[in-house]
Amino acid sequence: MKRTTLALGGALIAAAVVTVALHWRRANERTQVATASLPAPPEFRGFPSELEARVRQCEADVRAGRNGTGPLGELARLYQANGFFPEAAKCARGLIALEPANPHWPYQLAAMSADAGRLEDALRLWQRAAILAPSYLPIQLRIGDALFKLDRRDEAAATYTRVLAAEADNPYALLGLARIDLAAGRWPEARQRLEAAAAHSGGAIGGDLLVSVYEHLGDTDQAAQLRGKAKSSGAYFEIPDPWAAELYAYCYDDHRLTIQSGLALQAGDTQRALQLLERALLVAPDSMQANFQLGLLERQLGDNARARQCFEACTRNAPEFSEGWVNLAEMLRTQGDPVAAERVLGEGLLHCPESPALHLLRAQRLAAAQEWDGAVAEYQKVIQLRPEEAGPFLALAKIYFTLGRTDRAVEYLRRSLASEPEFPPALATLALYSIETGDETGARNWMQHVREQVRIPREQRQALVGRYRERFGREPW
Amino acid sequence: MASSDHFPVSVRRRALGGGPALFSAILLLAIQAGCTKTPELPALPPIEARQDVIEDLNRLVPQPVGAPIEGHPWIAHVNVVDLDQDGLPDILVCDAQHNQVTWIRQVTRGHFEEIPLATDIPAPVHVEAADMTGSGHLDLLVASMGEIFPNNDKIGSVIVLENDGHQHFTKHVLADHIARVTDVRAADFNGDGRMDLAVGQFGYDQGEIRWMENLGGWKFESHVLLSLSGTINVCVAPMIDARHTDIVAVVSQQWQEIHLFANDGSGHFTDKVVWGSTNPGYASSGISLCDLNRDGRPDILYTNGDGFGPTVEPGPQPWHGVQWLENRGEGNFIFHRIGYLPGAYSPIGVDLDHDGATDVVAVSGFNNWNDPGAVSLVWFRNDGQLGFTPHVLAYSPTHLITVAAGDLDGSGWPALVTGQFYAYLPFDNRMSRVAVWHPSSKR
Repeated sequence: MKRTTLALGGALIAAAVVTVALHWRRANERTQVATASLPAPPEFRGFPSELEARVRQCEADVRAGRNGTGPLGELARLYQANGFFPEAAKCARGLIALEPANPHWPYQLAAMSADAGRLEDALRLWQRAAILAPSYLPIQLRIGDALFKLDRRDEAAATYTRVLAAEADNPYALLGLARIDLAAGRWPEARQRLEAAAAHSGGAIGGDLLVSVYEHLGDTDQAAQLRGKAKSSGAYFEIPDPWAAELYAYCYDDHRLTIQSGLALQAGDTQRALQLLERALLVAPDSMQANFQLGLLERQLGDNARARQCFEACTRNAPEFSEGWVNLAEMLRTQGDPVAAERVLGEGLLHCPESPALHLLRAQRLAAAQEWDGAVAEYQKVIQLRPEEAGPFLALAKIYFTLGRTDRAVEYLRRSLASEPEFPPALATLALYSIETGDETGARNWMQHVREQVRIPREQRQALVGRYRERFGREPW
Repeated sequence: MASSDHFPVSVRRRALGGGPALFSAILLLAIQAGCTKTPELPALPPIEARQDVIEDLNRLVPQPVGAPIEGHPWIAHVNVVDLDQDGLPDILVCDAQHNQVTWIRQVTRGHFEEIPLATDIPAPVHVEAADMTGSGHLDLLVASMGEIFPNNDKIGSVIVLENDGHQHFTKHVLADHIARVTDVRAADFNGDGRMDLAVGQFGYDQGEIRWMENLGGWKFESHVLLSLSGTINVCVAPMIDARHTDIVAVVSQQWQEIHLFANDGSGHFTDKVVWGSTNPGYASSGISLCDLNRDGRPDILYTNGDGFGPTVEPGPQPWHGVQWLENRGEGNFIFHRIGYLPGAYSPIGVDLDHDGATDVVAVSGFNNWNDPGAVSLVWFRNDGQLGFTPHVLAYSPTHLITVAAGDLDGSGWPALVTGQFYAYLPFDNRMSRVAVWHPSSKR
């Protein structure tokens, strides 16, 4: 019995030793794989030193086999978030090997593969991620989009349909299906889907295509109504994607962070926009872009003190950036400190003597004070510096109308149309002027433009038609 | 105790309930540890490796040509064409700030003078030469956006400047009050012997691609091929069947796609997305066609580097760069990355070093110009095996969005022509409106 016990004990010890050895070997092999996944460190020129320090620490941890896959994962994220895609991709490949059940790694690598133009590789990776995280809809949407772009429309349609089964009003899936409808010439079906997509995204997703669909189907009123909402909308925003968003916590590039903040703001996510700007200023406290963008946002949110700090930082760190001065002066004026506003304006012009925005601000001040000569000179300076903008021409026209010099006013209105061919205020004013001066041919011509310019409000158009009718006794068109 | 055959109860319990179980567990762990496959790196192609960049600043010598700089130039497009067919290639220019199309005529070798051809075209952004009437004279096709910066109004127009043979031009507005036009090319799409037009319309929220059927007598009928915003270029060439001219277009905005409109020879086109990015911010900025691999089929050169976004200043992104889509026939294309170029614009195929292999040149419009190391003109040298090495030809002037190539001096060596578009800060002394870049050595 003793021998049996001893044998059994021995076997247990042997088994334990073997187990430990095998585990050690396995851990060693995993460390080897992780180490083999370390890219040669790139040059970190222009980045805060903290990024390089974190990279070095991660590398050391990976080599020492510390903390499992954590350091390699952190490294992958650091590289990807800061635009080092070849390096991030190498880490991600290692992570896919080490953690085959983690959907984040194929998802991360897919995004980089897609950006490198390798959509088929990206698709395979997204499909792998989708198996591991079947309920994460952004993956499905990206699969649908990839299939569409690979001209595999039936599969794309099936994917979008699956998304809709999970989330009936998903605007991106509806948009995807609508595009497939359009490619097949199914306009009414596309219309239905785009209307639903637009309805569930505040018009941002599908609203632009919907206009073309309305026009194609002859519903010009609906199309005009949508077109009339903005000179340019650009309302589309990207698929909300928390996994991709997480990456920016690892970003040390203030430019990328401000871009992301702008995109978040477009998508209506003010909180996230703020967070991203805060991070941008954490990694680059003097960042002109981040300070400026945060200033605008804080002003919009009503935190004038913070906004002022941001604009002041802009003028201090980037005195050649005129928009900082413009916004600071504007803030001071609206806060009831016109003396300080004027001082800032003057200072801004000293640093940026050729800034159209600062000259415009001065022109507006002078016009408000009815200092016409000075205002005219400043508006002319703006026009010289930025002839492509219609606004200053209109402002000059208004001054000349006020001064009773209608010939000059009309000349500037016409010139505004060289900058912006269908500039609504110029069209409406020229139409009214022609009506009032009894120039029916001219009035008819301008009224035709007024009719076609969907950005002229309906009431204003009707008023002009009424005035035309009164003056000439017939309809303008 | 009769039942205590071998072990005391306590021991037995341990033996039955603990010993074999522990043994089994250890054995299992051992087996598991022994059998667990060593993790293997998945067979995934690596993302583009970083390329060694060669500084090659003396290869070309710049010569400013044309009118002097006034303010901040907006040269939207340059093209090299022998407009007067006198054997000396000239330069066509779209000056979007002054709303004019000009002709920088090479009067004698190396001497240029700029002549405005049309001075009332709102925001001209692309000019091509083609004989629209069969007269033997080169007419000019002009894409007019109406306004350069975002505007969704229907303010675009398609304009042809008809050449009387003495470079006096008559303006024909073939379409107006349409979404902003960014490119116009000519080809006979329906085989009726008349030159039709392919038209790209960026618009802004709504845009189009159309072909305009030439009915004769400067009458054209439009056929819409696609209703998407964001088209930058439309190129025309037989992409599938040598007998029929197709249309290739790059569509930016949130779509980021390259479309092939395959022509059946009678003006019936079938649309196919031949490549697309799922990244709405991919920033497509231009395409051109050239047979890069010399297999007899035109390939597509493609840049992405448009810098405008939701920030006060545009700037580079890690995915910006230059690539080519290899035409494999039957409407199939394979994407190949050529290299990284932040803010990349205007890809062209040109054998810059005269070694028989077509290289690729592109410019940067939206680099980080506060960084003196930001490149503006890059030559991707083809090693003859379609391996490309980036050579920096210039850091200055900055803000280049258009480049063309041509044998301007008749030596058989190509020169480059660039145009600057100063859309954003910093506006410094690295300015130049239109420049010819002559080869410094022809060996």
